[in-house]
Amino acid sequence: MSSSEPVILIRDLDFAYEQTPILEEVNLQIDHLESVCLIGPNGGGKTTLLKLILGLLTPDRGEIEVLGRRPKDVRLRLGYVPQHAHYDSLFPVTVLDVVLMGRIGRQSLGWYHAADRLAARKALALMKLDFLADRLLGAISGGQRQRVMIARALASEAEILILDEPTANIDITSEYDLFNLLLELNRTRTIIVVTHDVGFASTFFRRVVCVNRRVATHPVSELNGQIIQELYGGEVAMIRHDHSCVGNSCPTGASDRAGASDRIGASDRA
Amino acid sequence: MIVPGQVIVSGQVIVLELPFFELIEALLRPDIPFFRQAFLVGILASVAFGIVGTYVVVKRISYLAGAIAHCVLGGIGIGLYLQHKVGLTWFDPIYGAMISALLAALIIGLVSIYAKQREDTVIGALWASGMAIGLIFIAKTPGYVEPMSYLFGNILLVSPADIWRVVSLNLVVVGVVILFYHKFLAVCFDEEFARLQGLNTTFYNLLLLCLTALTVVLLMRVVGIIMVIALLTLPAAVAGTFSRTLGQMMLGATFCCLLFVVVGLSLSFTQDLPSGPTIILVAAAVYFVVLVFNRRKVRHPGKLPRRR
Repeated sequence: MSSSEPVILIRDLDFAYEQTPILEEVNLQIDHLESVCLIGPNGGGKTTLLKLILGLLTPDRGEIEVLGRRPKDVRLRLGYVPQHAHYDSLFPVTVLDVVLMGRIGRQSLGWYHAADRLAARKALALMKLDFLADRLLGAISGGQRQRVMIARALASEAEILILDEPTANIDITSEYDLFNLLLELNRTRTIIVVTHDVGFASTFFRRVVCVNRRVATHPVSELNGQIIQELYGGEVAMIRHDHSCVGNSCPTGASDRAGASDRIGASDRA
Repeated sequence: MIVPGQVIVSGQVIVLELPFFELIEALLRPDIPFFRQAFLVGILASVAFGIVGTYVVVKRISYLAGAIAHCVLGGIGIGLYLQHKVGLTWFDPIYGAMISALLAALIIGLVSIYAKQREDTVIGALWASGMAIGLIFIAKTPGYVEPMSYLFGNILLVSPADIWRVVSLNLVVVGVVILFYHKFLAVCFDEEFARLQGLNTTFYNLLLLCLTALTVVLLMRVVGIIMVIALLTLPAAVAGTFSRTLGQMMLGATFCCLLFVVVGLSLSFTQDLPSGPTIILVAAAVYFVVLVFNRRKVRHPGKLPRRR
């Protein structure tokens, strides 16, 4: 993949559920090795846009190209990390089995080869979860479970990593770990994250895509109170977030990229 | 005082004191083949029940399985009507049951995939309609037919052909699971992710419901339409409390199902109790004991993990 080509290209896209328009006139380009974050209010169309990129929905009008092709044709090259809240903690499945599911699309009958196990072990090692491989998924912590889901997406050797609300259920320490991890993964992969957490967005991403029926793109340095207020409408509680600095260590790269002065959070989570 | 046949539950172990000789004699007597056949069918069916029940439990589709089981009465009613009124004497009601179960599985499966908003209402309507069709055809069938036998089970209905049906279905179920074990696991665990990996989730869902349909028909005559779902889910639920993989859960569920059927049928014989309810009560008793004494710790998602 040459670095100049966009990995995701959306032109004049409209999408509606029944009669309700969700997305209108969306134009968006995401380049190779970019890190982009989709923010916006509930019902603004973030998840819909994600599902369109993943090929789970088809647009009513307009075009969407992922890696130069139709989204459905490149599914195996996309690594999707869903919100983890809906997993059944009683499900009898080990961590390694879950990560192996990232390879299920490559098998005709569903028995894994040695290469699949190797890829799964490698993905687990990258997430520093090797020691949990044989544990039950229901017996590990929320932050660890989050990383298992990322490992599952990595096992498929995806070129684009797509995470839906990765910070929704984890504490600040885990959020900090996740942030460092994404920085690392971003060296070789394009990363798209959907989040409510504008504070998280401003510490990591170079570009923020605001989704509220229409789509507007801002460099993260422009992300200020006015844009957030326009996006969410009405009064928004502002909180200064500085949780990229936990303990004594401040990742220098992070502060440079994000611009430590304008880290702003819109807290619309109850 | 220990009454012969009483079940003593101490911890999770069940100790049985049975008049074994009487039971074994009954099993061997040539003039009462139905008891031997019911015993054999129950033991053999445990394989299909353990495997399919595991999927029904982890995928949380016992409501769909219940609807399929109740629709079977429609097929039985039509089968009896064709046999006795129309004169198709070769048409055993079991064929009607199998056809209606498969049909119900496909319709209910498609409803659950496509009718997102009113899924439960539509399935409830299918559930009741299936039973209503069966009861009307049974009422219009000449001669005395007792719908109670089908609803609550009656081992007098078990025939030698049932044994061969169970063996065939076991082969089908085991074969399908060996081929698709990991695919089913991925679909049951996270359907959306499986679809993104290119799996045809509609196919796997319908295949699973069709296997469920054929499985419930097998023990319909032993435990009855209404209670057969409990025998599908309770053994798997018990096994699920100590299993680390789906495979272990299937083995455990098969063993539990076998235990419940053998203990239940033995009790029903020695204590002169109806077979279906006895089997189900044995299963439910073990399930509740396991539920109370299960100490496996599970962390629930949605809660914040404790800070280290």
